[in-house]
Amino acid sequence: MSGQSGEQDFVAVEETCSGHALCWMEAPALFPADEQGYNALRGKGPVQVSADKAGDAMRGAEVCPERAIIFHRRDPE
Amino acid sequence: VTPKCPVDWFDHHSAEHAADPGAAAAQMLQGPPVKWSDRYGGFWIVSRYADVVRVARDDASFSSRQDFPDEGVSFTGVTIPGGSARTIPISLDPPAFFAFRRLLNPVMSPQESRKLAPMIAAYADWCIDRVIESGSADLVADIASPVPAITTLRLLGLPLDAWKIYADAFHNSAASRPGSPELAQADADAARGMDLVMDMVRRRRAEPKDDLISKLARALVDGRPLTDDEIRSVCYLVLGGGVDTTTALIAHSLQYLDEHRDLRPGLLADPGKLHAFGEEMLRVHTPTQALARTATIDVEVGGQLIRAGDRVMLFWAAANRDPEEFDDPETVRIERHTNRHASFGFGIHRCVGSTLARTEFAEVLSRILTRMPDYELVGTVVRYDSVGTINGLHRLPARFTPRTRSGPGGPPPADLTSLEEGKAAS
Repeated sequence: MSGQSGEQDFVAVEETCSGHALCWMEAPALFPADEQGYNALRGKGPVQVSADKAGDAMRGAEVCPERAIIFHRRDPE
Repeated sequence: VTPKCPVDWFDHHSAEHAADPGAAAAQMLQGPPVKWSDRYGGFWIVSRYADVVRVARDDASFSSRQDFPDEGVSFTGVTIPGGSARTIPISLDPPAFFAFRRLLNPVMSPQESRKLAPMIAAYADWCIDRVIESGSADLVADIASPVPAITTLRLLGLPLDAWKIYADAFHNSAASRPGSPELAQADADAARGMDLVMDMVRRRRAEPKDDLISKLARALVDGRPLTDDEIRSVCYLVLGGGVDTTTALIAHSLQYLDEHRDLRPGLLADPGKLHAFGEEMLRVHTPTQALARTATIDVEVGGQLIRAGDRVMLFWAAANRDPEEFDDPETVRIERHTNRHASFGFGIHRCVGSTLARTEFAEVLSRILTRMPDYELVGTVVRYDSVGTINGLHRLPARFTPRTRSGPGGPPPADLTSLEEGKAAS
């Protein structure tokens, strides 16, 4: 599992985010919305996710209708 | 070139289709993935989830543009057949699309939509107060229709007690078959409602307030103010999208909960479960059943060559039943692990009001399940004559144990604006 070493999980939000805001409903702290309603991380590249937020990040990726959220789980090896 | 194999059994505006739209959606997934209809000037039907996503996202190859007769060209926008009124920004392509969409996004953002939740609950309570002592109501006409209409009027900054003008006109417009006298009447009624909107636009130009009409009256696109026709077209779309689709979602959900009463306490107790239930109702009933595009180039979809200029239907309701995306798609399963349904569309034209619709759904369901926990449907459920674009219900007659009003004594306030000010002050 993640968090067992110094390495981190990452999440990236692609430009295809179109503002459904389902990730925001799942985890508003991890996925804040900008004033246009898009994910504020859209197009910002990979962002580190702390171990306690990995579940939120994964769930956000799962609910996104546009598949715009990419969750990179650190390889447990 | 693949030959066109017309599906002659399919007419999305027919009475046969309205009787069981889900069956037609499921049938469309059988056989060749992209089918052809000779009706309404001819159009392709795209049904598979992956194909619908692909077309919706490719806004360069598939245009949403609608031209009108005085403009000479032939693009007919996002419905089949094309609508009679101009709608902005849904029937614009980039870059003009984005200039207008940027004006709408902030007023219906997730943060702003959630702020409206207490007000929407108050509108629901006002509606329930008007029927709660009698023990009987039409759950569409008395609650599911007025709450979204009142909410939409508030967003725009129109007088709230005019809600029925807009609710009736836009429901009847969506419900009526192309070419019918009912549609002509509804379009005329909507046009009269739009004249009232334009009166308000002129007033807000002189004396702006904090509402969408004031914002549109002062906004710039490409460095110039919006024309009256553009403002009218934006307001028409906000009203059309705001008053009808959410009503359909709430109505179908109330009908489902009549048949599954055991679910009611659990939904009321758990907002997460209520949200998931709403998503599954959105998937199964697909309030906006289908929209359309026009191909701008020769392009292949699902093995089918589509020619530049061809019309293409995006059959959201069929995509929502695609077993490649949804396990056991014909079964209502509230606890689906993921439910990335197609009901709000995909890509740049994704429904701008999706979060507001979800907020309205949650508030209205919560108030009904709290105050009318034992409602049961009686009599005949009346569907729209056509569910080709909007899968709506006209009537849901119900009875329930009478209770007292929640508001202060006396009749419900005729002027909802005063109700709003009272709530804001408290």
